[in-house]
Amino acid sequence: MTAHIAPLAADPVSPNIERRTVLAVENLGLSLRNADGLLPIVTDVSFSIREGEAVALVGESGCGKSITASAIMGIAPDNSVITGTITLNGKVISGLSPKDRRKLCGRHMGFIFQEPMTALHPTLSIGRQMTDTLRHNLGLGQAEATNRAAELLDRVGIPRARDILKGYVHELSGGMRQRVMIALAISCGPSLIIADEPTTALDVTIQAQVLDLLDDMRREMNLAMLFITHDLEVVGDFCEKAVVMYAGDVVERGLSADVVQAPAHPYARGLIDAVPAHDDGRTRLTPILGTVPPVGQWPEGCRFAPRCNRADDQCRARPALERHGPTDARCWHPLETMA
Amino acid sequence: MSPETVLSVTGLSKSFRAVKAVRDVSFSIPRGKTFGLVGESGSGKSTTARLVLRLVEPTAGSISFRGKDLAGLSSGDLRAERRHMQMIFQDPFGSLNPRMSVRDTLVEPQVVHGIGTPAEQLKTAERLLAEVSMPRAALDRYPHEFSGGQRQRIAIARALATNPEMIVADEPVSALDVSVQAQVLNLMRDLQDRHGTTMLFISHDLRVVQFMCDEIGVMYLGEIVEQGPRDRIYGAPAHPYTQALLASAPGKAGGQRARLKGEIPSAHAVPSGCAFRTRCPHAFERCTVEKPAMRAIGGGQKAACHLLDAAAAA
Repeated sequence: MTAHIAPLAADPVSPNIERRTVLAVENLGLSLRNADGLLPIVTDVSFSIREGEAVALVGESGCGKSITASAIMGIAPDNSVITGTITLNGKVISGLSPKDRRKLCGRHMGFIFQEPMTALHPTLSIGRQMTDTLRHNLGLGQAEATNRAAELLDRVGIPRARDILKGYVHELSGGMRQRVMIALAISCGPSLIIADEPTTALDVTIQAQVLDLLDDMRREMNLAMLFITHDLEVVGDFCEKAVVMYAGDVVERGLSADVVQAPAHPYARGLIDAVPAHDDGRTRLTPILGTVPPVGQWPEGCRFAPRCNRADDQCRARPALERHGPTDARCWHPLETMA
Repeated sequence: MSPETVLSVTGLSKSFRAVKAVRDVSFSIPRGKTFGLVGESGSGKSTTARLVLRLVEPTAGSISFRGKDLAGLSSGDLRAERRHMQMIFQDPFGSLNPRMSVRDTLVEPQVVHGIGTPAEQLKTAERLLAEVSMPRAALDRYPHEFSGGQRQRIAIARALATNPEMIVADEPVSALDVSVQAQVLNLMRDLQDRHGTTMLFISHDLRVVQFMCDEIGVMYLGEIVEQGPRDRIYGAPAHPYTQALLASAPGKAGGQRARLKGEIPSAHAVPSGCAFRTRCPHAFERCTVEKPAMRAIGGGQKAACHLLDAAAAA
C-alpha cells in the first residue's frame, strides 16, 4: 500500500526522471501523556523525501525537529501519543510493533547523531559494534562481517581501517568518530539516512569534510537523507529541499534555494536576517524579538504571531500551510516573493 | 605603549607540562576597540583569554593592562585590577550562581570591589538590568527562571557592574539560538558604544567575529598565524589557513569550497617548522625545517607564511 502524498510545492529540476518516494510523513502529530493529560509537542508535520534527495528539517531548539526525527526512527519517548502516518518505501511503519519496527529500521534506516561519543558504545571496540550490526541485520559470518567493516571504514576515509576496528571510540577525534557513525549508518545498505545535527559539534574545517562525505554517500548510494539542523547556511549548500519548523509546526516548506533566498514566512526571513552575513557591513543585526514559546505555552492561532511584526487580528486563527509564491508557508500575511 | 592602548600582550606562552597550548602570542587593543581571536578547538584562543585574565599563569611573556604589568602584580593588587577587567563566558548556565538572586548577582561585584553604598549598589543593579533590557522584576528571581539568552544578558549586566575598562568575552553567544544570538550581539555592541568598553572577543564563528571585531587574530595550534583589520582578514586573507577557514564556512562559495585535509595535530606533537604545514595545500620543503616569521604585508595586516617571502622576493 502506498500513501498518497501531495508533492512539495517545488518539484525537482528534472521532472522527467521519476524518483521513488522513500519516506513520507503525513500529518504527523506527537503528544506526551503526563499527569495533566496530553501535551502537544509536534502538530501536523508533512513532508516527503525521494531517493537521492536531501531534505533539511530546520529550526531553533525546542521547535520539535529532533522529536519529529525520533518519531520516524521509532525511538520517541514511551509516553508519546503519535498520530498521522509515516511511510517507508511504501510500507506504513507508524503502526508497527516495536519489534517489527526495529527489524525494518536496522536494515532500511541509518542514523547519525550529533554526539558520536554518546551514540557509540564506549567499551565495545569499533569493530565489534560494526560486525554486530552487520551480522544481526545482514546475517553475515564473523570473518565476512569484519572484512565488510574494514571496507566501510575505508570508504568513509578512515586510514588504517584494520587497526581502527580494534580501537575504541574515545581514541578517535570528533571528526573520525563522526566518520565511524556514518560507516555504521550506511553499513546495511539503507534507503534512508537520518542525520540529527551531524556536524554541529565539529570545527568548521572538519564540518566541511564531513558534509562532503555525507553528500558523496548520498550520490553514490542514491540515499534519501533527512538532515536536521539549526543552520540555514548549511541547508542552502547541502539540501535540495527545506522544511522550517517553529513551535511544533511546519511553517515553511520548499526548495532550499527558495526558502533561503526568498522565504514567505516571517519567521524564516527572521532566521536568515538574524545571522551575521559574510561580506556584510551591517552595524546591527535584525533579531527576532522575544523567545520561542515553550511547549505547553503556545499561543492560539499562529504560534509565531506574538513575535511577528506583521501580525494582526487575523493571526488569532490558525493559518494553513499553503502555497505562496514558490514555497508553502503557514502564514496569513506572507512576505511578497519575486516568483 | 601609546596611552590609548588598554591591553598589550607580548610573547605570551603557556605550556601545560609537554603541551604547548599557547606560543608566543602578541597583540594589543586600543581603547574602545574589539580584538577578536578566532580559531578551531585546540587553537589556544580560550587559554589566551584565561592568560590575559591571569586565571592561568603564563609560562613566558608579558601582559600590560592600563600601563601596568599584570604578571608582576601581587594577588591583592591583581584583585583590585580585576575591577577593570571583567569576563563573559559561553555557558550562562554554569557561570551564574544558581543560589544567588539576580539582585545579589549584580550587587556582589560592587561589594567585592568596594564600590558605592548599599543603596547605590542597588541603584546600579537596577540601572544595569534596564541597560540589558530586562524588567526590574527580574531582581528577585533566580537564574533557573530565565532562558539562555536572558541569562547571558544577566551575565553581561554583571560584567558591567564594576564599570570595567575591558571585557573578555569567551564564546558569549555560542550556546544561544540564532534569533537570540542576534539580540545579545546587538546588545554587546550598543553597550560598548555607550561605555567605550574595550573588548577581547573569542569565538569559533567567523560570522560573529566579523560582525563584532575591529581587529582579528587567527589562531592555529597555539599561535597567531595572521592578524589584521577585519576587512583585510575577510577581504584579502594572506595565510593559507585563514583562506581555508573562510572557504570552509557554510554558505560560502557553494559547492566548490576549498577543503583542508586532515585534522589539527595534537598540541603534544606540534609539527616542526610551520605548524600548519601538515594540512597546508601549498607546503614545501622549507616549511618543514624553518618556522615562518610574522611578516607585515601592509594595511596593518601581518601573517606568518613562507609563501609571503617568496611573493615579496618576486
